[in-house]
Amino acid sequence: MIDIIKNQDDYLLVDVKIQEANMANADTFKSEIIAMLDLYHKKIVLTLHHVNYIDSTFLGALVAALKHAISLKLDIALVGLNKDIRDLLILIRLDKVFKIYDSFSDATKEN
Amino acid sequence: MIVQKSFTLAHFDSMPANLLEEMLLLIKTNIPNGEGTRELLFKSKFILTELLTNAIKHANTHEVKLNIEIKDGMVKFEKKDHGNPLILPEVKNDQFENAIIVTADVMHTLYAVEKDGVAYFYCHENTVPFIDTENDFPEHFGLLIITKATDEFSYHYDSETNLNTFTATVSI
Repeated sequence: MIDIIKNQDDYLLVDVKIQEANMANADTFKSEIIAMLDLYHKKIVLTLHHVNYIDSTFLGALVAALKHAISLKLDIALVGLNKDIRDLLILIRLDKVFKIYDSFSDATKEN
Repeated sequence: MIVQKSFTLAHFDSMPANLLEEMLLLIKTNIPNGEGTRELLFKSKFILTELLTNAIKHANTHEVKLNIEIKDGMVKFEKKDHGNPLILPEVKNDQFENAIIVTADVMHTLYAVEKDGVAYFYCHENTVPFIDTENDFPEHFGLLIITKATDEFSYHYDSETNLNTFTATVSI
């Protein structure tokens, strides 16, 4: 479900390869990304270019992954959000806790 | 003009994409096309999906009737199922007089006010959140999304027929 497309010294660029991010795949996503954080111990820049739609269950999995990252003193940043997904994050204020970038280069600028 | 259509869903594990598109098309073709159209469709998309997700996750049922009604400058979404009823916690807070606190975390306080057997949901935004692993940062957003996307959101449980009814309205 998620693939590493770039493995740098201080971050991983990770692609979410699903179009519908919903309760049917949220648990698998959560397990995979937490395993990735534990294995590589690097910040993750998560690209959501393929994702057309996201539901509350998948958002819960994303937040759980972010909490895990913070517990390891790491972070998860988001790029490639379509307008609906970005607006949803803003609606429930998740834009205050996730770093959201317009592009991959913006997301990695401070690294 | 009044537009009304019901959709019955059975044996699903998430909102079918083609059905969601059909519902959104129904709304799009029956509202005036203007500046607010995109926002209304955005809200409708997430309201419909979260109503359905609620049925699967919390009511533990896979049979749901979704009704969409467009009239008097409003879009009304109604979800009915015979799953487990929503149990609201018996938690009060001086800040929200006569309200039941549904969830409270660093981001939001979601609360309900009961009137004539119907619970109406409201949301208060708390101060700008800071997430750490110590606080009670939420991982459940379904009711919150619907409450924040709607002008009015309510729940009624009919104990005689074991019928859950969620009603959400959005102004056009």
